[in-house]
Amino acid sequence: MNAYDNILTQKIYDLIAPYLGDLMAKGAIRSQCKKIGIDDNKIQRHDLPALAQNMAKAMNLFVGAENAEMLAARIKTL
Amino acid sequence: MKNVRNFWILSGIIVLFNIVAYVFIEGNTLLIISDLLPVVCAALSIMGVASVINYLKTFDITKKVWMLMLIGLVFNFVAELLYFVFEVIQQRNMDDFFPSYADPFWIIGFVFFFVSIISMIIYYLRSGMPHGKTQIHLIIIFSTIVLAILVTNFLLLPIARDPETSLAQKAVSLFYPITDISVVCLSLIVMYIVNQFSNRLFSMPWILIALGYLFFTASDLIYSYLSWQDDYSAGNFFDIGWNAGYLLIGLAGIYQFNLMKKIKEER
Repeated sequence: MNAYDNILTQKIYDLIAPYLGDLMAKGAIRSQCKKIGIDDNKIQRHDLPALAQNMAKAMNLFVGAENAEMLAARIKTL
Repeated sequence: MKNVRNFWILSGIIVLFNIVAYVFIEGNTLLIISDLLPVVCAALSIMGVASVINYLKTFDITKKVWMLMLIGLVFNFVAELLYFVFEVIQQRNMDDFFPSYADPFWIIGFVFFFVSIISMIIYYLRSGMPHGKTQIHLIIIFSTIVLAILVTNFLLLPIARDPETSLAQKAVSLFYPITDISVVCLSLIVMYIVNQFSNRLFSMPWILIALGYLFFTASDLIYSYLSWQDDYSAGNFFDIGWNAGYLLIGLAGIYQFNLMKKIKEER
């Protein structure tokens, strides 16, 4: 079952949920979208670079810069 | 020693040996074991945390947080080693030698631990990740204030008012409980934040670090109380809290190393 109607949001969720879990993944998407001033269900392709960068910063502390950058690269190319 | 299972087994053996020693061994042998085990445990924790730093290539906030923790552990290792040398090798009576030359190292080590954990929390709160419920944060802060009042009433004030205790002894005896209480608060906040991750592998390093600090705090508080009462002697059962604290922080490093390695391999 999909957590989001928006395909890009769902893809980001699918990417980070295995690491963060359902609750934190949704919370992270919501707060990172809010940070760049967009609705989490209205993510568009041009939002991805900024969103990816913020997501990488947030994940850095837990997985290290190298892995966080890898995650950002995957979000950017969704 | 980068395998989580092996580190758990080794830690279990050390703690079990520690308990058995306290129950069945007495005298000088217990003194040697009691003073030597913290040195071994601190060395193991350095190994665990060093594995993370070695793995992290970029010098960013993550590496800084772990680096500060490592420096704190190195200071603690030196302190444990000095204490062992004074008490076991030089056979000094540590009751008459308080604060000892080891205490400044513990104090400096603590400052690094404190900066490490607070840096982690500040970075996390600024990262835009979910903070959790404000009520829980307030409950943690309120509980810490209650603990601070209790400790002040039953430990700090009596020590501060004791005319037989020298100024240096008072300063060191008061430093540990005051700073420990702040670390309890920070550790509980960290535990709450990372507990929100449903993936245990992700939250485990920080849960173990927070638990390690809580063990340190429990032992420090009992130590401060007993040494003020002149009831502390090496080989006390609560010494195990320091050893367990070191081992948990070492384990945290091993978990973090394995988490980063696993994610990299999954790419």
